[in-house]
Amino acid sequence: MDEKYAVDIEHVVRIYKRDEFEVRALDDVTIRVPQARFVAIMGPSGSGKTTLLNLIAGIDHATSGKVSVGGEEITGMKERDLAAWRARHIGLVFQFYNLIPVLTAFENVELPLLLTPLTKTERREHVETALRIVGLADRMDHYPRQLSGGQEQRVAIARALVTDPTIVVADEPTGDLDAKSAEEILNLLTELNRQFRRTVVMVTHDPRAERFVDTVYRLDKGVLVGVEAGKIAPAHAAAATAQ
Amino acid sequence: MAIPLKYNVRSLLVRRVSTSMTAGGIALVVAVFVIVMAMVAGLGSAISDTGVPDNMIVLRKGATTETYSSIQLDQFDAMKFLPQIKRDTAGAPMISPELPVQVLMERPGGAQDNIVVRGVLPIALEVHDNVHLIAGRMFRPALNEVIVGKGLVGRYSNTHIGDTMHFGRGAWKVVGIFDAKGGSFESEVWADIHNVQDDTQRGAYYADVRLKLAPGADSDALVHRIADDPRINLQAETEAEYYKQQSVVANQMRVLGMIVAIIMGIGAIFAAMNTMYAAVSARTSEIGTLRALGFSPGAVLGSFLIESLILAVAAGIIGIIIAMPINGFSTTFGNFLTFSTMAFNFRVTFAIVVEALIFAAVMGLFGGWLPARQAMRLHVVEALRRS
Ligand SMILES: Nc1ncnc2c1ncn2[C@@H]1O[C@H](COP(=O)(O)OP(=O)(O)O)[C@@H](O)[C@H]1O
Ligand SMILES: [Mg+2]
Repeated sequence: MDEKYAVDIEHVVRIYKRDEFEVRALDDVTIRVPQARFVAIMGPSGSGKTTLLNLIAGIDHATSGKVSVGGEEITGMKERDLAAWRARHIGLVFQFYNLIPVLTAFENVELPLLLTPLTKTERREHVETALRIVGLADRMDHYPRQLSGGQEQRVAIARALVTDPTIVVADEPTGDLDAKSAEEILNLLTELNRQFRRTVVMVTHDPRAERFVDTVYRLDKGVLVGVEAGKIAPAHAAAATAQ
Repeated sequence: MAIPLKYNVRSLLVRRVSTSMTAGGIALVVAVFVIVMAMVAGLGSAISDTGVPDNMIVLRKGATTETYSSIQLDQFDAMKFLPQIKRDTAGAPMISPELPVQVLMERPGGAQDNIVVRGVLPIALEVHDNVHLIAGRMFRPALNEVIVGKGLVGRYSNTHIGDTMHFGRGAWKVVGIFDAKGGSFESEVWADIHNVQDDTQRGAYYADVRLKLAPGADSDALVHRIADDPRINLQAETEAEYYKQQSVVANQMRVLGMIVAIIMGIGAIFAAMNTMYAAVSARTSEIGTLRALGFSPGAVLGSFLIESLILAVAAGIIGIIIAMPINGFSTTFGNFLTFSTMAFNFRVTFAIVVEALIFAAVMGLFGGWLPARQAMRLHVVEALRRS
């Protein structure tokens, strides 16, 4: 397996069994994402985007084929090991933010750090840094219900980046947001990618997203139907070439 | 590290209604448990506190209670001067022949209970050294005077000093009130033993004999002498042993209380289970999120078990607080063994509090187990899809 790929997916098939029906959610998909890219997986609803992302995040298993993330093959890992692996390598962002409603912004961001050997003081520093990056240092003690959708998603992004993961996976992170908040989130993910050189894999069917990403993988009915370069906006392109 | 406790505590507080309903059920069960156990403890200690460490009780061979015992005067005379018996300052042996009889006494409301009237000699106050007059004076022989245990005063009619009681064939004047440090004598009336013999018209005999051991006396030797001397031919044991046997009643109550508590506890377990299943179902996507973040299935299991435990133990504490006012509450109880009624105080001991908390915790663990296991077994992706 090749270290220069952040994500290396080879001939992956994922079949869901529902009663006697079989759904081929992914059909022989092969994708290689190099390190430190910001890529989008796009396609119509039901085309297998979430399924693919879940395989990359190590929360689902391929029916056949091979999945390697960060140079490590995760296809055969046991659930316990996989959970520990996720905690170390994956930052997750969901469409509906998935913050724990009874925990404050600070406590939500701290959650994944509880799985690390960091001390309480170190955790506090990390959480504060992450919340500062997403611009919510002043909302640490707010509960999710006291935040707007855009703010909730920024807290979720802080939670995804606080462990300094190898790769951030985001499933329709702007799907539930208004245009302005969506733009903020896309800018934040871009910054994460450009400034901190994290690999970001984002599922979206938002056409605006194409302006932010390096590559677009197009899925249709579980099949990879195209790989295109993103239409990076001039400001982003300039930033990218400057590096 | 585990999923933080504040997650569980706050989740419980958010589901205010179902949490308080379940907690209320568990609290009630624990309260009943504490009350029953406090009653058993109070009863048990009232019975066993009746004994004094250096006292012995002598009964007819084979008799298990005073009620079924009888001793003739010549048997009493034969053991009266045995060397193992302590002498008082006047040189008299501290040995007390006694004749407890059952009489019906009336409550102010009209109901009647069996009460023990114990015929004794004045020496009884020296032998039973936990019995003290707290008001009035000792009865004088042959005058149908009585002293009344303070557990009866006010609870039954005509139990105050100066009152005249009617039982048996005679009228009896109350001249004193005594305390027995919580022991069952407090639920008795003491009268002159010869008056009692006359009143019952069963001749001159005693039911049992109490005696105080001389310091350092060999009690085994005394037991053998009393058993083997053909003029005596009786059975002696320490009061401690005797009252321990008498407290089988308390033990039977205890078993009964346990059975009731367990049956109610099973009900509470189902309530807790229902609440926790609802919690798991309502928080499926949270569970999926926690798992996706990297918390292990075991951490999820532990978290929901602990949540159930917190709920049950908190409810248990409430139950104990609800039951606490019963501590010291005084009541009467019909003793199945002697067919007499005795007064005692409910006692909420430290051991009962600990047992009640353990009982609550067990309900929490049993109620939480299946839901927590269901939470643990949720498939991450399936759980997340339920956003
Ligand atoms: N757990 C599942 N059980 C059965 N079918 C599923 C399951 N998850 C997804 N599918 C099916 O797999 C296909 C791809 O789903 P998904 O990856 O969620 O699509 P997308 O994210 O592109 O909308 C769909 O037809 C969907 O109905
Ligand atoms: Mg999807």
